Amino acid sequence: MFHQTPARSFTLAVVLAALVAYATFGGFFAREIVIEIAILAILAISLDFVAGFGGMVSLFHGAVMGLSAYGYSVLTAKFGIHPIPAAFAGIFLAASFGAAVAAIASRTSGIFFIMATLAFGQMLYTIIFKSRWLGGDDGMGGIPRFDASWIGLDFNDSLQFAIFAVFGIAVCYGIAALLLRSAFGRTMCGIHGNEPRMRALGVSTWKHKTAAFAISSAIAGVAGVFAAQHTQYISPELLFWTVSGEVLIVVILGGLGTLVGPVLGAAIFVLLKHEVGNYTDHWHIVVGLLLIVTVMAGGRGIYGQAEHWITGRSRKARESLNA
Amino acid sequence: MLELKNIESGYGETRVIHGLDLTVEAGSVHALLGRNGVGKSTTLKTIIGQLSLTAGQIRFDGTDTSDLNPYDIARLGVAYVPETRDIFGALSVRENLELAGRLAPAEGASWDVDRVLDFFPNLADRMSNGGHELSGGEQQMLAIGRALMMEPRILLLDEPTEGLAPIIIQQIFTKLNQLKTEGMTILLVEQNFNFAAGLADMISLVGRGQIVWQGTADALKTDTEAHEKWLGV
Repeated sequence: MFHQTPARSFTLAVVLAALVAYATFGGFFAREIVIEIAILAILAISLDFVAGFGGMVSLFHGAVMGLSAYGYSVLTAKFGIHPIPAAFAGIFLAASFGAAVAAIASRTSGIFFIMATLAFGQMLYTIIFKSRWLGGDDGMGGIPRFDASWIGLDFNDSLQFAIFAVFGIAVCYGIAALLLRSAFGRTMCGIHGNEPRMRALGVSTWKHKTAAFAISSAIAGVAGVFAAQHTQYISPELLFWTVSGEVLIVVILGGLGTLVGPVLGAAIFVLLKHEVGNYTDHWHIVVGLLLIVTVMAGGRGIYGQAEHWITGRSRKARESLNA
Repeated sequence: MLELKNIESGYGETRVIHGLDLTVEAGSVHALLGRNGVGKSTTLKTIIGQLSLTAGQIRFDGTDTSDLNPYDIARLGVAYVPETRDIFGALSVRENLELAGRLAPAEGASWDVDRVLDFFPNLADRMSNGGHELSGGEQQMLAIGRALMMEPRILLLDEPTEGLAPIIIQQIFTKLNQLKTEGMTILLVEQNFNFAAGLADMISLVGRGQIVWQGTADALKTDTEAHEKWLGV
């Protein structure tokens, strides 16, 4: 069950404030990094929602994000539709795809579930890759950002767009946290804990899993809309399964089932990629070593491990006081 | 109220129940007794739809439930308390109860968290504890409480006394007796003969996947032959 503890609120506030500060004082390149972190963090929140709390690990979240990005881009760049309804349409498209895949895949579980999501994600990748109308492997350009001049903002300015993306993390986190605290989230935890038991309690578990994936995919869709607006150019690479694999690494690195961990994980992952990437092309080795260390330490992830130490210590302190 | 007609079921290729017939009357407590491995728990799992029928028919209050999904059967008012109790360790006691109450029919609801706590006062002190922090007796009380939150019309209990201290068994006995007086229909699977005999209006002995003897507790006590043949070790 998810608990929004003070430690989690504090960590989230610190990470978001650090991102805003980095974007404000760091110049253009820092802002690009912040936007990249924000997109990955939102995608990681969406994956943690189903994987960390529902126990449903997926390898198609990259494809879902890409689908939403393509939906937004086609509507705006090809049909000239206003960016805001286009964004909602992209998110809706992602949610529908996620729900449809989950409705089929959630009849299986474990490794078969993961493989089913991988297969559907790769199918989508192939369709878009082969589509001449969508630009094939050349991708699509000319994608507009939101026009926020009516509230005096200009999202073509890299700083304002970066802060907008950080705001996006906060909103997606809030929605995920509220849902996880609700009866819906409790039922999802129950399904994770013991699915036959939930059925005996009267829950149609596959419907619930499908709904959970629809919500998760909608959040991934938000990441897709940001991704399309960020580079204003998209290519099928966004849907390739390695993107889904990368976000799974981010979630595990940060702390599966902690919600704030994946946000922290996204920041660490992107920073490592750029900082280590300055010295060597083999930055994956560093991420790999870090991942091995976190997994060997108990698999709680960086945030989860810190939380484990702190609560362990405070419990010890209380016990020594009582003794 | 609950009728099993010539049912067959089992696990995969292995058939455990071979043409079992059973009728549970509304408002009665019916106990299934028998040695290990004769199909008592399998019968309960088949009733709730966790195992599917390979032959025969199950009717609950006139509805044929043979092909229904487990969640549809649960929503008809069939609540099952498994032998393993299956408390959600990641959820608190309150959350475990609320989870079950959420899908109960709203009209005529008679069980809520407060009433369960009145019924099992031991749980009241443990409301915010995680499910994994409970003792065996508390888990059993929570499992029964969770089933009551579903507003059941029949309660299926699989060995509620297993592994519990005598004093806790006594408490659970008192509570189940109270439910019986209030008119709850109960189908009980037990190994503890005295516990079952004290509660049940009717006892069925199960042997090799069939009902082999049926009668009242008093009749069973005097029928030493049936007792020896189907219960003795």
